[in-house]
Amino acid sequence: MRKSLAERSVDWVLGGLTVITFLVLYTPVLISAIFSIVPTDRNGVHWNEASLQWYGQLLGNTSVLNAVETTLIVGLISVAIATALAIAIALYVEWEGAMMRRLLELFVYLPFLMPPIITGLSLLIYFNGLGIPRGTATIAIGHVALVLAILYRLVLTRLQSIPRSMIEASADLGATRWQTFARVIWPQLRSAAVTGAVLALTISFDETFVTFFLAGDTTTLPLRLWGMMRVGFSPEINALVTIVLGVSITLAAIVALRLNPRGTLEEE
Amino acid sequence: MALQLEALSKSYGTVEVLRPIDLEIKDGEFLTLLGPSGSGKTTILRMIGGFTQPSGGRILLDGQDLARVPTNKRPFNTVFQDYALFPHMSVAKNVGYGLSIRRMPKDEIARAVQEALDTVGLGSFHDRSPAELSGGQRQRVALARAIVCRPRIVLLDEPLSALDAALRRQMQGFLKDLQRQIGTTFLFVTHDQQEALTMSDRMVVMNVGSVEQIGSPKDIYYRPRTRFVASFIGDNNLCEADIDADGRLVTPMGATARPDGVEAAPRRVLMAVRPELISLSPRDNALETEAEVLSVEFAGAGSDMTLRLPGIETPFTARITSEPGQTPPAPGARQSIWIRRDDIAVVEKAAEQAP
Repeated sequence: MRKSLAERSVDWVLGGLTVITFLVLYTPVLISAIFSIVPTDRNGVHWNEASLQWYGQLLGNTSVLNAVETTLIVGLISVAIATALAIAIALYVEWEGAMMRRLLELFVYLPFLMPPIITGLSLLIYFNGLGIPRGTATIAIGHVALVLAILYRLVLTRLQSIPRSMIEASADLGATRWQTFARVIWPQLRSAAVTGAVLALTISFDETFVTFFLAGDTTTLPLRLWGMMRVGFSPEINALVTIVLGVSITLAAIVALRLNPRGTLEEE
Repeated sequence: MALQLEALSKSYGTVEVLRPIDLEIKDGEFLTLLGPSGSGKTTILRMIGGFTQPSGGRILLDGQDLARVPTNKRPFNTVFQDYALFPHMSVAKNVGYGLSIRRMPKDEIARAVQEALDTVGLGSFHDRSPAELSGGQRQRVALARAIVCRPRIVLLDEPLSALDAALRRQMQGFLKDLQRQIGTTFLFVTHDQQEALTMSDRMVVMNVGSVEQIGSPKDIYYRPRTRFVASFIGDNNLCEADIDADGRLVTPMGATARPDGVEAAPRRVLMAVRPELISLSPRDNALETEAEVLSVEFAGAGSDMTLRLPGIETPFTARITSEPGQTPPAPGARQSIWIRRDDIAVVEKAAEQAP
């Protein structure tokens, strides 16, 4: 059946709004990416001189490389710790009948929900008070507090979809609690844990505010980027932004593909 | 000796879900716990399995107290209501799970799994995933998984309730045959009285946390001892009657000789008569009365006739076998009926009147 004029105009308006939204959101991204390859000066854009020289320069920049290294170390360590913690807490809450479950969950969610400036500042005061020098370790601890909420939520949702009778069946067939975890729970939890870990890695990768308070002399990639921008824009910054964006978008895309639309997880 | 429950009870806070129960489960029998929801039948099963801690009493296996034996060390296996198959494992891995936990060599596991799957008629289903199976097939896998470890008792928690009627009938026969074949004790929980009557060697009828009656299906059906059992199991016509000083049963239709096992003390009791035991033709040693036909309903194999009996307030139902071409009495007609004295069950009222 042919659509009426009114219906078609609604389609056009909605379609137009979508296009505008995408343009507004992604034009700056696209421009950074372009200018990381094409040089510009007062005379305009030199399209014919496009090259990857700025990327090359980044590779030679040891302070940037150190920042990348720190970012990766912090990300991997904090996500690994947070994943283990999230599974432990979720198991405790869901199956051991945690005392004060609500309060415990609030503590898990709070660092993620609070303004990062509060989370960062309170952690800073805490480490200061204990006389712990700021560095990679303190950044990692801050990131654990931050990403724990996400991992916990994903793991708990999956755990809640495992019927209790399945755990009872495992015990009934002779398994100890540890065997039940290793053979029945973990295989069903794994996909949620991996998805959560990738999502947490995305957050850890470009986290700036909390990191800013906890870094001391250490520098992560977003902090390095921040520092570079204070001295003025350079094509090198465009190159770095493009890399950060590329990694973030890739990680986010992995998560999006693994999460189905209702927010639950697909079976592997 | 087998399994003994001694004053086993369960309360949640002040709510007593199971009053102290004594029960002996014999080796090799098919015992059914039958009752409506909230009767405590599943609680008993879960306490035997070790999933729920008793509030009082003991569970003894061959005389040994199981109180300190955790679920995974008890020689029982359970078929769960939702089957509880592991979705990430193949059928063979599911069935072999218990054996691999026991660290049995791989080739022996394979052999035992094959045997168990053959027993339940799924010999060629090893590599299927549980998601690919129908409800009845999952049921059989759960059963294979429970019998492959050769438990002393198989605990079955309403395993047929999720199946459609035709499949349920088929599985009832299958379960009973399987139990006879492997000779393992089956403890079966159900709320379906037909299921219990068909399959059990003995059955325990339960209501609101206590045992109403224990006996063979025939005992329970023909000799109900409480009003609950008389009305919960099958259809029954109930009315008040008296026992006189000589122990005879005095009914509105006349008196009968002293029924078996009835104490001779004057009191009010209930009498129960199965609809199919009311006859329209003279029988020996029977009470006879003339009833008024209120309605007749054709029900395929028979007709249900609703009758007003003189001196009895509630109408009785009689189930009469129809023969093609035979016209049943019309509503309003007078009809003589006969009830054999032996077919009347006496139900004591004393128990139910107690607070």
